Amino acid sequence: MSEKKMVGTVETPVYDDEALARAYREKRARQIEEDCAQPFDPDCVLEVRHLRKCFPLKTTISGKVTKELVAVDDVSFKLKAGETLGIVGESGCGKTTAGRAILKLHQPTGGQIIFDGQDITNYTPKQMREIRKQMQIIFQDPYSSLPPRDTVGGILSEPVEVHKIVPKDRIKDYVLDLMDKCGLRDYYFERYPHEFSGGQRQRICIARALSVNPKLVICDEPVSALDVSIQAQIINLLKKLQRDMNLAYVFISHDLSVVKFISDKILVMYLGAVMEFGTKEDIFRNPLHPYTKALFSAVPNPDPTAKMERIKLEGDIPSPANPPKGCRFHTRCPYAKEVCKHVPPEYLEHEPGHFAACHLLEEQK
Amino acid sequence: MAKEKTKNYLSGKEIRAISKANAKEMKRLEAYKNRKADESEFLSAMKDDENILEIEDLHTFFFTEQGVVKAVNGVSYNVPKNAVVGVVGESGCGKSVTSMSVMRLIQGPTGQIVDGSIRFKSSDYKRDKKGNPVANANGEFETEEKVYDIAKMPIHEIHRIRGKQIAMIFQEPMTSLNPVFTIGQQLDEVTLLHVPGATKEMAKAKSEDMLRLVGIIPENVYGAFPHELSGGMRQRVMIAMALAAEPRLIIADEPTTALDVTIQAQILDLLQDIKNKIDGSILLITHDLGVIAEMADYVVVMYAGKVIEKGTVFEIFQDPRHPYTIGLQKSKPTMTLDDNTELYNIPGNVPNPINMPSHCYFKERCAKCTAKCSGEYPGMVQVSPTHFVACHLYDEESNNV
Amino acid sequence: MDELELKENNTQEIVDTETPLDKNVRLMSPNQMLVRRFFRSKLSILGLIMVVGLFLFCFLGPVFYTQWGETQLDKSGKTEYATSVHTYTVDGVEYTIHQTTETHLIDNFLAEPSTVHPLGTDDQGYDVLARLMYGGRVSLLVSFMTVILMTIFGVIMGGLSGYFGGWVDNIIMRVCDVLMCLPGVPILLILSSAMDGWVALDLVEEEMRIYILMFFLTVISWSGTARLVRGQILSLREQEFMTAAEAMGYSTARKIFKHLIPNVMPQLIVQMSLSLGSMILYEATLSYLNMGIKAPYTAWGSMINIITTNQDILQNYPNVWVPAGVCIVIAVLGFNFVGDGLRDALDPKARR
Repeated sequence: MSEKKMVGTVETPVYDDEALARAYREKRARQIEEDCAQPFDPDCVLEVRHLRKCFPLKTTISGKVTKELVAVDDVSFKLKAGETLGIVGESGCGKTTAGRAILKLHQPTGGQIIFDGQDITNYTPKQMREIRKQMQIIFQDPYSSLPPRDTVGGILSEPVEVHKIVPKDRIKDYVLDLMDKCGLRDYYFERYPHEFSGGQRQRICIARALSVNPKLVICDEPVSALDVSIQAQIINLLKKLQRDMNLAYVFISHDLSVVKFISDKILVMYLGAVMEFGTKEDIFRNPLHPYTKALFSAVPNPDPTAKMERIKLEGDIPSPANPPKGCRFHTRCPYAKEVCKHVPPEYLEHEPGHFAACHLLEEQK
Repeated sequence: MAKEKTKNYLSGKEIRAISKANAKEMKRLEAYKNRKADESEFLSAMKDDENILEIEDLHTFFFTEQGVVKAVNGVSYNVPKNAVVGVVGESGCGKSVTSMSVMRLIQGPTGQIVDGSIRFKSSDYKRDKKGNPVANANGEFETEEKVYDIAKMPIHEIHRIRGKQIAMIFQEPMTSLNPVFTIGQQLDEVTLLHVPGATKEMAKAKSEDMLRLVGIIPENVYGAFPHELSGGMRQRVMIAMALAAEPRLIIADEPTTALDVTIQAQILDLLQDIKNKIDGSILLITHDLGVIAEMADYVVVMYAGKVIEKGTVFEIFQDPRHPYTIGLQKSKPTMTLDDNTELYNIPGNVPNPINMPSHCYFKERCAKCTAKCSGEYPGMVQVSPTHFVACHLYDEESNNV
Repeated sequence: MDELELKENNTQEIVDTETPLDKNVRLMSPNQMLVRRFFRSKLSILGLIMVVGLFLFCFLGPVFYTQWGETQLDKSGKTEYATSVHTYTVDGVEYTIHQTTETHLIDNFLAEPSTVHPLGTDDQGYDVLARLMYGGRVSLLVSFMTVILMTIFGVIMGGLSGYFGGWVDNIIMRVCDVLMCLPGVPILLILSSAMDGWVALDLVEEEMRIYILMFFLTVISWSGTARLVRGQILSLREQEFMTAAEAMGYSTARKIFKHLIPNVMPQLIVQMSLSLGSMILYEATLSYLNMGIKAPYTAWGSMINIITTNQDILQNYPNVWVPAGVCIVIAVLGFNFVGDGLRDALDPKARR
């Protein structure tokens, strides 16, 4: 009896998932169109608008994609010279793909990339070749990112030679100067990468990236493979070079403490979508999204006396090939509600410059 | 420049000399490893009965073509009963090689335990001469405690300990499970192998218990193949497998390094939980100071094949003495750090462990180094009953203690 | 104050990264490492000795062994005397006639090994040792050229296939599949017969015939190399240093030839030395089937071919054909040993 009454009184909203998805798609398409028509911000080195990258999973013989993996879904940000944007997230969140799509190492599926006042989204590989020297990348694994059969001198001179940065007879001086800046001894010039430890190799990678005087450097987990004491050296080096050369960094990492240390703005990603975006102060002082909060509390604290309470996340990260409907985070969110399972939350500005996508926040508003 | 280059490489003569010396040494050690020996030869006694594992003056070398790599060069530490001992250090410091030596998993003939002893208090069933467990009048198998010196054991005797008494959890949950067997099969095997008289039903029941212990619903996972599980799940299965034989010591070699932060937090919680439930000790090897601080009771800090500092977790984190330990803690940016001008860092690189000098290995990177540091390698100085440090800075203090 | 100290510490670090501790360490140069690993195996040393020995024998041998040339017949032919006794009776008187026939053999064929001919002569009167040297030159040269051609061809095709992927890859790999189905020897047999016709029509010179045949062999056997190169490039392309090269804005040609091919070189060298052995066998087969080089010139295979025409030589004169067989075996074994040794030396994962 009482059970029946309960059912009668509680209103369970009925969601038509397909209609919702359609509405969401249409609304988003309008938004993207609107945003992409905006004029470029002249102050920014890099402006990314609604970046989207899909990889085909299944294709028919005629080449039609029947199933795709949305690796990066709707990422937008602006970056000025001398600034660092940190992208944080766990494996499969699309942070690396986002970094490579910005460099057009993967052709973006949608959105706009405006680099230095030019819309490079649809540049041909040949047009890109000229732009490449202004945007560089540093990789996670210092072992596989250096060609094994070339000397350090060769590795560093090649880009200088190809892009004709300095006259031919001055290449060696230029490279030696660069090596000095990156903390590499001059006699390393003749040595091979395999003779060096991870930290020194990462310095070589940094020197290579900077050899062409870029304006933007994508750092894809540059310190994750290094030891703690070496990590600190590399981070300091990156900071010093940023000051000296007025570089803009996109710093991709899963290590929150490192991102916190180096970044000005932070973008938190989960399964290809942006969860939260804001300045470092905003994000760390006042994290809005439950995922951000959980991520912060999961970092082990090297202080045995401080036993803090964790926001526990149950379960595993879902496969990015098959993300949950509605809010992507709802399967692990401790505060998830019925609406989260069906309706994708809107990405809204909750404080000036502080964006987040969560239904809970929408309600608070 | 060319001269510099040739100077940096070994000459053909030197290479030949190295390989000749290595071959001789390797042959001797390999013969020692494969010898036939009576049990009495490797029976030993614990120095302190509270310990389950005592590593004393362990030397594990790798005889490479470029010279002898002293990966573990005189390491001593103890693992007390029901405690978590964390070993921390950077890559190449010998923390993993030490644990591999305990398991006798060092790859021969290049890698060899050269000297030292690893005493382990094993608790095994009473066995007859053929090695089969003996049942008493009631049909029960009785256990007895014996102390083995693992370093002196011939390699074919190691099955007495490996897997059964000491289990290991590896870093890569992706590769440490056999892809062609189901999780259930692999778990059952452990029980069938190590528990005398175990039937298939018993094994299955045990495996399901173990899965429940690590927070997995057995019905979903028992019949699954490893590739169907995520990294975190596999690591849980690995832990279940390690627990299945009810070992006295679990060696966890970077158990969370390959996992995401949120999954790492789950696994750490699980390990914390298990630590209280089982009757055994955990030897936790990691490079992450945060993990150590959360998990360990005792901490051993290693650098270039040597222990430079050891003590309780509070001593190491609140009163670190060795300049390396201090530097390591300062150079890690933390979530609570607000100053972001410059990170403290230890200059230089981790030394290559060939041709080590006789003075302190950390001297070149040390900010506090004194004239004394160019002398002999510093001995262990006791600064409190449980806190030891190998640094000349504290030589006077030892007199006070 | 504190900050100042930190800064000092860091600037010092920038300048001084290599600690003197590292200076003590002396490593092996990549080449030293390679040599060291190669010579660790006794078989590869043996292989090297065999190969070098054969080369010296074939290319330097004739310089010292000048008594006989390749096409020089031994005309010192001995004189044979045949005596016959005829007896007939005339008028009751018995006459016996002793007849001695003197035959001048111009060619000294099938001579036993002696100081003049260390390995004797063959059925034509050519010196076997000299022919062995000159024949070896042909065999080795032809195999080398074939392998080099094959490798160049294979690298280009495999490189294109692996780098571009897509339909380019598809076409090249399907061609490879087809080529792999073609049986080598029968096709060469047909070609050889065709060539007999061309020679008769003076379209092709007789001496060039083996080279042309081996060229065709190249055309049908590059697929193995191409597959190897493609596989290597596919795995190398995923390496981050290739992404770095892409990010640097290098041209496609530079990426392939400066960054990819040098990294395939070790595997290529191994493949080359292993296929040298099989090419020598191919050449020997062709010559043995009398489709290769023709008299008066020779190759190892054709030296063995003698036994097909003359049973007597097979049974009684092993000195004529066994040395050529031994040479072939040594060459094939030698190249295979060297190839295996190189593979172990160049493969960083192959630990012992």
